[in-house]
Amino acid sequence: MRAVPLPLALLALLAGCAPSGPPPVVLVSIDTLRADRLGAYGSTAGLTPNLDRFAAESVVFDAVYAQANQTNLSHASLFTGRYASELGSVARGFSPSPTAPTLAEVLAVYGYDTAGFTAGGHLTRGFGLERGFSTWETPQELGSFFHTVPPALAWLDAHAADPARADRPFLLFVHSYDTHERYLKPAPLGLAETDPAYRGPAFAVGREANGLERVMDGWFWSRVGGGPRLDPSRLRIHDGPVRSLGQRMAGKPGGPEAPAQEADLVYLRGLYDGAVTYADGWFGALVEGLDQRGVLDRAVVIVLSDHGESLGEEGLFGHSNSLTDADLRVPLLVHLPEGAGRRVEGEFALLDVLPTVAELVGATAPAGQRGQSLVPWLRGGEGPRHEVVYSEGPHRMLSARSAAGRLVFTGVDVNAPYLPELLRTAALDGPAFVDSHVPDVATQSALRDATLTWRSTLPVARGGAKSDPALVNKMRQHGYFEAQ
Amino acid sequence: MSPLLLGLLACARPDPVEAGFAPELSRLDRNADGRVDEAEYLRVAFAAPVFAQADLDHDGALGAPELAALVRAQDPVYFDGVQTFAQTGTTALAGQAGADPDARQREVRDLLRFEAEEVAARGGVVPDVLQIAAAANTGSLDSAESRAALAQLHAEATRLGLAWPQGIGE
Repeated sequence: MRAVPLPLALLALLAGCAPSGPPPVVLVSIDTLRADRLGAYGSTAGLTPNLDRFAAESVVFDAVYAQANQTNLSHASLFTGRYASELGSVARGFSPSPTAPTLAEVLAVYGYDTAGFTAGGHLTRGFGLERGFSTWETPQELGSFFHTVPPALAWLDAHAADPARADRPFLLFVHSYDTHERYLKPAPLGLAETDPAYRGPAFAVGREANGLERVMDGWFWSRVGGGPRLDPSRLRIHDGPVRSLGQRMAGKPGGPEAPAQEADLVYLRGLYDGAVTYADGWFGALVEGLDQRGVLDRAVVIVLSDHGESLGEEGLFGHSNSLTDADLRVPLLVHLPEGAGRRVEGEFALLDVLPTVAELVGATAPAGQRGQSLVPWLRGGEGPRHEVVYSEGPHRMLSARSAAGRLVFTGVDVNAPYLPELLRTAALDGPAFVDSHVPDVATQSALRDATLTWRSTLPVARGGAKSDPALVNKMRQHGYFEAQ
Repeated sequence: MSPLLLGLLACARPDPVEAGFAPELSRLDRNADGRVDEAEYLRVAFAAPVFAQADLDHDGALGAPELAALVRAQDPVYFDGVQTFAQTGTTALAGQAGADPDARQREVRDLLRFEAEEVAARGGVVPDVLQIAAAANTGSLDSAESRAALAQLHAEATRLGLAWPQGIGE
């Protein structure tokens, strides 16, 4: 056991002398972490001992769904309590409207010192997610907790040592891309879940940046060059369901290289699981660092992911191509200073985090935010919950989830004028509702009606965009509309 | 908890990285003896022939402090199963390998074994003497024959776009 240097001990003394008041808040985002990889969410693989130990002293929300399947969209919802389509165009180049107050801006008004340490990508300064943070650093682009945990702990030490800031509560945001592709993490942990003898096509894919773009529809594809555009939305509308494309193009120019065998998928999943273990180790380091500084005893610590990851389900890898449970179900662990552990069943949304934090620190949540405070649940009681949880994604996707089932709708912008007709008339087993699961007509009708009602409340939807008759006709020909 | 007690306890608290990764060490520790020996390490880390460098106290196994040092030495952005210590870890740990000549020899053979496997996996030709040495982890690498074979392997690796470990065959 190594002793902590004396200066850190002095800093701990200073931290312990901080006056009581609104609690500090630590928000940890483990990008692309699937909930089902945690022991706290039922995994028996033993990948996350640190997260599980933390969860045992936290309130664990069982079924939490992100409001988007992409980092910038989902973090925008997390920080504002609003849906991405209210904040801007739901596309890869999304940047949230500056008119929606963020969690950091709200807490700054209440005197919080705010800092974020991100792993870059869509959280790089300039994408708009930094609004409200007085410190926003990206030590390494597409980085890891390896890059963000040390400076985050150093920031805490500097905060505690600065007489001008030590009395102020803080909001600390720590982010990692460890479980985002490229999955490959340093040996030995990064490879602990893979077969060391494997040399199939996934070996190279797992080591390439954006390699997962080559894994689709159950096939390994070459780099897109003269081949088809692998845009799921275009494929779903104009070329039929994604699943059959590889089969139709096998052996043809521009076609896939090889079918994905089970051993290939196992290897990729093993790389992902190795990344989970690696991220868990660094999470443990972060928690130990918080504990040593006395932060764990007085702060609200929230651990979550912004979205999940498909690992071969429905023939897809990654997270921008679908809105399945694998893509959207995320962990949400809330550790309060008193450290009591319990589990809350039922469906919740990531955009509930903003009003929850606001209530915990005594702030007023901004008008227009759509989340519901989880504080009643945190205190051991019950509170309001969403009857339906909505999510969005680029490639014109949206989903509606309830306790009874889910509709996952693809191929249409949420503000397209023909969306109501499509929702009312499209066949459930048609291409419009790929990945949907509803047990009966009543549930299907309820979800359709709820989606239409929700859509009518979105400011963007009220504007009404012009429809493209040629596109609508093409959709009818491909069976998107029940009436022909 | 009083500030004074908190401060005193802080002096005895473990390294956060060591504490964070200690539970992970158990995943690798197949025989549950609290350490990761070379066989347990190589079972999962064939692509990172750095065990000798990571074994800081040369006791033939990695404990929690050594695993933490290994984690700190490997920037995940640069790790691709080949280049870890060639690009990032060598500087951090090489100086700590001590004066053990066998450690360096083992390291070189491990690096060549991986390099040969990578070349073979991509359809390249691995010189026979290195195949023997890599497979058996034996054999001298100082003869004229082995130096010629090293040069041939180096050329194959370059042709296939693979990085070459620093300090080998130079």
